[in-house]
Amino acid sequence: MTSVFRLVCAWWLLFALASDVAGELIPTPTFSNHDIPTTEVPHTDPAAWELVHVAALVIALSLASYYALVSRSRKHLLVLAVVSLIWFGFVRDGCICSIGAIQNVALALGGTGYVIPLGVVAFFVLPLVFTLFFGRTFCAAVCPLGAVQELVAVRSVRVPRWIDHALGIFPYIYLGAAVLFAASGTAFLICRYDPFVAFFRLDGNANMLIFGTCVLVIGVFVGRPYCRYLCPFGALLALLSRVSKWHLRIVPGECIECRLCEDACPYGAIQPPTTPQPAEQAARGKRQLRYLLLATPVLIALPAWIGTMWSAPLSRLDPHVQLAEQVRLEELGQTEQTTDASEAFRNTGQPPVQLYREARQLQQRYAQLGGWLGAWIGLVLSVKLIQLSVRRRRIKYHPEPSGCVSCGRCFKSCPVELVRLGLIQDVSQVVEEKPA
Amino acid sequence: MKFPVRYPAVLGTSVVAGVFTIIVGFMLAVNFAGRGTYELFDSPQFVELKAALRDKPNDLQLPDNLRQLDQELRADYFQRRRFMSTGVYLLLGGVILTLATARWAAALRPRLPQPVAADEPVDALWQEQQWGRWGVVGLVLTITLLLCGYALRAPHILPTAEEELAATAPGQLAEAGNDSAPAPPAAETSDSKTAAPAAPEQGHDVPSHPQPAPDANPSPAAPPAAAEPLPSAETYAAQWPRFRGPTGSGISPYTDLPTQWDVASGEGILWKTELPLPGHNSPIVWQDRVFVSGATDQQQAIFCFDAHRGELLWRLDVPPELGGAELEVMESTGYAPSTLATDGLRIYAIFPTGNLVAADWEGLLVWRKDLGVPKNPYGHASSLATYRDRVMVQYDQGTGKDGKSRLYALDGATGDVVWEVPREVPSSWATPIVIQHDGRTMLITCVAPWVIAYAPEDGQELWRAKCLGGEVGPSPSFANGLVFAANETGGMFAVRVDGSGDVTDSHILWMTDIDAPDVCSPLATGDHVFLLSHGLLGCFDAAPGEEPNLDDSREPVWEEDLVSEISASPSLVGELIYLVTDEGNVLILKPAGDACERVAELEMGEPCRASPAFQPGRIYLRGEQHLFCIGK
Repeated sequence: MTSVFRLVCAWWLLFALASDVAGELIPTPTFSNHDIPTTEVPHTDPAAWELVHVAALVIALSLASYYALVSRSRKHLLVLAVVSLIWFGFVRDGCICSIGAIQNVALALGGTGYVIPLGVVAFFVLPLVFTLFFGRTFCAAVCPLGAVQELVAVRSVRVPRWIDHALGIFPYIYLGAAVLFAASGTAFLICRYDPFVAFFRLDGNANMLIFGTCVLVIGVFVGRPYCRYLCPFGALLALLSRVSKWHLRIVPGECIECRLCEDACPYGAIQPPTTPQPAEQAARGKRQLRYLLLATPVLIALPAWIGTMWSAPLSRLDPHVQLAEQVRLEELGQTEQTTDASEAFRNTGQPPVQLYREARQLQQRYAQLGGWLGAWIGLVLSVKLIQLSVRRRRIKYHPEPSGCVSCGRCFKSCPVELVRLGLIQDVSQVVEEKPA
Repeated sequence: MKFPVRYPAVLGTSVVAGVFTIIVGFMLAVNFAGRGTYELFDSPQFVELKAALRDKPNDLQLPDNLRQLDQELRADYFQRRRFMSTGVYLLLGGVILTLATARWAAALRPRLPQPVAADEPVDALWQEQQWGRWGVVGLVLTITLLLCGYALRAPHILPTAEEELAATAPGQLAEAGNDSAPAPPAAETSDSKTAAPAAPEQGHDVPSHPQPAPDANPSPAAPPAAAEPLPSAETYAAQWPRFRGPTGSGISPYTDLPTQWDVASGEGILWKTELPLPGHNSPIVWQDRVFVSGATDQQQAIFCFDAHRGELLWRLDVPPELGGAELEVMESTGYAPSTLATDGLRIYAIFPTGNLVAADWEGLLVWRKDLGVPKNPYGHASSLATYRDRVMVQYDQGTGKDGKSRLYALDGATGDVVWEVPREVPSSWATPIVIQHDGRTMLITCVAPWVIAYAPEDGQELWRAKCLGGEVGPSPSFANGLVFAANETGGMFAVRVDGSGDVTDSHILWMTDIDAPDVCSPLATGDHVFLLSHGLLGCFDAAPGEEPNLDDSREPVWEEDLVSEISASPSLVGELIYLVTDEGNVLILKPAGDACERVAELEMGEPCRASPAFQPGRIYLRGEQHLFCIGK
C-alpha cells in the first residue's frame, strides 16, 4: 500500500515538475479512472512499543552480562550478538541506538527546549548502568554496531599498542564534538556519520555506504575499528568500565601464566605483567610526568584559543550557514547547482540579507563553540599523556577494563578454563610445568 | 579427522561467495552511479525535445514524443530501483555467506598461540608508553592543523560587514527588515480607535515615545536612512511597549477598564493562559500580541501570545550563555525579572545572564548579544527601554570602583553598539525612562547616589543630581517637568529636568524620606506623587516649591495601610489607582482629598509580582503561573 502511495505521489510530483519546467506546453493528462489518494499521516509505533524495546534492551544486557561473567560462553554471546544485530539493527532500523542517544541527551540538557522521550533516556542510561556493574557487556553482544563488527572480525591482526593509544583518543574528541554540536542544536554528528545505519535500513546515500563498507572491510583485519577508534559511546563506557564492580576475567581461577591468552584478543585488550623498571628509567618517567602536569594548563588553553579560529569549518555543519552560503554563491553566480533548501528559500520570496545576517551571527557563535572544542581536545590530550606517563605494576595477565569489550574470545585459550569446562583433565595436558 | 576434507570446501565456498559479493557490489555501484531522480529532466534528449517544443508549440507530434520519452525514462528509473532493491538483498546474502564460511574456515584452522620468549629483556610497556605519547601528540596535532588549515583556506563566502552586506545587496536592507520584522498591522478595531489614548490629563509634557521630537536635530549617530520605518508616535503611545507603559509612568492611556471581575467564576476574565516558564517581568502589548519572558537556570525564552485569545503564538528560546561564569540570583529576582521592550519592529529581551536578544514579529532571532554575566548580588533586573529604533540597556554592576557598569544604546536592527557610556556606579535595578521636555530628549537613569540624564542620541551626559543612597530598585517617573527618583535608603526626590552639569543644589525642589519605596516605582500624576513602601501607600503633594530646597521634606497628604506586601509598581487608570499585591489581590483605590476610597479588592488566585499592562478595555496581568486578560 505504502509503495503504491509512494509511486502515485512520485508520479504526481514528476508531472508537477514537468509541467513547471515545460510551462503550459504539455497538457496535464486526465486520470479518469484514478482515485486521488487522501493524505496519510505516517504511522508511528504505539507507546507500548517503546516499553517493548526498553524491555528487550534490559533482557539483552542481562543475558550478555550473564554469558560474559557467569556462564562464560562465547557461543551464547555470539548468538546474542546475531539476535541483537537483527533486532536492534535491522528490525529497528538502527534507531534509536545508545550511541546516538548521547546527542538526544545533550540536546535536552542544552536548554533548547527539546523534550527527550523516556525510551531514549533508557537507551542511554541502561548500558552505562550495566557497564558500571559488569563492564562493557553492552559492546559484547547488545550493540548492533559492535555485533556486526564482531561477526566480520575473521582474521584480525594485532595493532601496535602505541598506534592503539594514539587512535584511542579519537572517540573522546568525537564525543566532545558530538555533544557540543548536539547541545547547541546544530547537528547530530553521530547519526550523520553512522557507518552502518545504511546497511540496517538497506538504503542510504553513497557516502554512507562507502564509509560503512570501508569500516567493515577494515574490520575483517582490524578488530572492531569503529568501537575502538571512533565510537563516542564506547569512550563513555570505557571510562565507566574502569570502575565497574565486576568484570570479565580471562582465567576462571588462578592464572598459571602460561601466556596462551596473549594473542587471543584481537582488540589488544589483554595486558601482560610488567617487568621491573630500571631506577634511571623510573626517575626519567617521574620527571616527564612532572613536566606534563605543569604543562597541562597550557595544553588546554592553547587549543582552546586555537579553537576560536575554527568557526568557518565548524559553522559549515550548520544548515542555516550552509543555506546562506549556498544562496550567496548562487547570488554571486559562482555556482549553477541549486539545492532543495536554496530553492525552497527562494520560493519564500524573502530577500537573502536577513539570512546572511543570521548566518554571520551563527558563525560568531561557532567561534565560541570552537574554543570549547579546542579546550576539550586539550583536556583529552593532557589526560591521555598523563595516563601514558604513569606506570602501573601488573603481575598477572588480565583484560584491560576500558578496552575489553567482554567478547569472550579469550576464554578457550586459557587451560584453566578448559579444565573447568571438562575438555581436559589437567592444565599439564596443554602446558608444560614451569621449572621450579 | 574431518579437517582435511572440510577445510578446502568451506574455504572454497567462502571464496566463491566473496567473488559473488564483489560482482554484485560492483554492479550495484555502477547502477547507483547512473541513477538519480533528476536525470529524468537532465536527459539530453528530454532537454532537446523541450527546447524544440518551445520553438514549435503547435507541433502536435512533439508532445507525444515527449510523453513517450518521459515514460521510457520513468520505466528505466523504476527498473533501476528494482534492480537496486534486489541487488541489496543479494549483496547482503553474499556478505553473510562469505563471512560465515570465512569464520568457519578460520575456526577449522585456528591460529595457535605464539608467545614470545618469556625472558625477553625489552621493557615493552616503557616502549609502548614512549611511542604512544608521540602518537597521541601526532594525532592531536594532525587534527588541529587540519582544522586550522581548513579555517585559513576556507573562502569567506558571506559578507563580512554590514556595509558590505548593504553594498552587495542594494535595497534589500530595509526590505529585509520589513520582511523579517514586519510592522504589525495598523489598529484595526473601531474599539481601539474610540478608545484612543486619553489626553495627558496627568500633565505630561510630551509622551516619551521613540519617535524624534519634531524639532529634534538629526544626530550624526542617528541610524542610517535605510533603516526600517518606525511606527508613528501615536501608534507607539497607544501600545504598552515597555515596563510601565509607553512613557514608563504606569499611567494608562485608556480609562474604559474593568473594575470588577471574578477569577474563580471566570466572570470578566477573557482568557487565562498558563505560562511555560516562570518570571517576574511584566507583560508588554503591541496591538494583538502580548509578550513576556520566562526563564529558569536552564532555559530562557520569549513568549508571544495572541492578545484576543491567549494562545501561545510562538516561543523563542534563548539558550543561556554564561561564558564560563556562574550566575546566582535571589529567588525574589528570579531568572527573568526584566520586562521586554518593543519599538514596534522587534521585541527585545534581556536576562540576568547578560544575554540580550532581539526577535522579529514571527519569533525569529534577529540578533543576540551576550553582555557577560553581571556582578550583581541579586541578579540583573533592570528592564529595557527603546528610543527610536535603539535599545537602551542600563547595565550597572559591581561596586562602582571596578568600572564595570555601562549604559548601552544598541542598534535595534543589528545589535551593534551605537554608543556606550562607562559609569562609575554600583549595581542598580532601576529601569531608565526616555522623556522629552522643552524640545530636549533625555534618558533618565537612577543609581546610587545619582540621578543622571543622558542625551539618547549620543550618550552625552546632560545633568546629574546626587540624592539617592544604598541600593536603587525603583525606576524614575516624570511629570510636569519633574523627575521623581526614589529608593528606600535615600528617600524620594523631585528633580527639575532643565539643568546641566551637577544640579544637586540647584534643581532638587523637594524631597521626602517617608514611605520611600524599596522596589515599587513612584506614580507621578502631575498633582500628586504616590509612593508604595512595604504595603504602605503614601500620597504626596507634587507641587514644586518656589526655590530648590533639599530641606523641604514633605509629609504625606494621606497614607493608607494596605496590609500586604507589594512588589508591582502602582498604576493609574483615570482617577483610579491599581495595585497588585504579592499574594495576588488587585486593589483598586480612588484618591479623594485627604484620604482614599477602596473601590474593589479582587483575588487573582495566585501570587503576582508583575505590573499590569493596559489596553482598550483590557488589563493584562501576569501571575506566578498564568497570564490573565481581564476585560469586558
